[in-house]
Amino acid sequence: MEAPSRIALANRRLRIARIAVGMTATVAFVVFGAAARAAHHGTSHASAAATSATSTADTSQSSFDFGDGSFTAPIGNSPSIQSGGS
Amino acid sequence: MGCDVVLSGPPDEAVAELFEKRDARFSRFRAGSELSSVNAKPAGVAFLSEEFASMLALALGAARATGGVVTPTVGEALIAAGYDRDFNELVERDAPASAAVVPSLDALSLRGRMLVRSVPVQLDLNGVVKGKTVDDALALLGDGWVSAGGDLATTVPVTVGLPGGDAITLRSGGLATSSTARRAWWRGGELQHHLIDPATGRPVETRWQDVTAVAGSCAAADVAAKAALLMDARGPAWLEQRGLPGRFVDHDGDVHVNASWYRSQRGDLLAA
Repeated sequence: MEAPSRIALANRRLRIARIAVGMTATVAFVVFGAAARAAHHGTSHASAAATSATSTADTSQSSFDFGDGSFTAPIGNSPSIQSGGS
Repeated sequence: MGCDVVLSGPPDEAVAELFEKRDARFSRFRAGSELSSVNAKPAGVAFLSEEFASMLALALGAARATGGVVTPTVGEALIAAGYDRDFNELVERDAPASAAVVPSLDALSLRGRMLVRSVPVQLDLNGVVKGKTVDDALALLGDGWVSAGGDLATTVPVTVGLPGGDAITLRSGGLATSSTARRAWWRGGELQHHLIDPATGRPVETRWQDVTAVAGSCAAADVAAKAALLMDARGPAWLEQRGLPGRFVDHDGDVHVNASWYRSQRGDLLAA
């Protein structure tokens, strides 16, 4: 079997290099796009419905519930706890 | 967390461990804490632990609920005011305190465990960590009450002394007091404290020395008390609009309460 010529070997290396560059560019584009989308609130809402994983939901907008507590005038002896000073 | 933790029952190992773990993760002053690690690279993308992301989401929710008044973005302003080490290690210094810009909430985007900061942000999660840890400790106990530095959550009636000498019996939920008189230090001949006004980037100047609020949990009460104190004259009405009882002590020691507080206190007397 005849060994490949130096030109054929060079062409093969060039093809591999092109594929590697293309794959790197694709990965970089996807990562950059994801970071940009996360950084801009305005553009993230448009595709929110298509995002099924809850782990990517924008938790910056989480709600906060104050709820209700209940107290009365003091009952019983001296206080168990002294509040005042956080 | 620099405060005494007291329980309704005997000392509980799981509760002690919870407080220690939270302090180890969220302290600004422990070099190995996750918060220190996040703040070491204050801009760009950070990947957080599940617990950190959850606490930050709570802090951001609290910030939005208070119109940005109780915000986790005050870390740089606290440092500028001189609160740059554990409170017990603070010493009076001649150099005057300075102000720092408090970044807007829009500078932060949290998606799951990925945090993106569009400008440098020094986070401080003290606005929620202590209260949430009290609530979580109570959940571990099941029944009873838990107090950290006088802020508490309960499922049973417990009598609580208030600044200025009054007392109430908290039956359920949480109670917290925010004060400009505690965690205060001198810098360049001026008294500083830990409650930062996001508008000025300095410790807030407010007519209230102590604000006590009651809410559904200790974390909620703590956020409410801090917000009302920071809002100065608007504080009582802001709490009232949310149905939250609030008690305010001014710098002369005079006590003011909003209508919700008054009703809660009177309710028991009227029913008797």
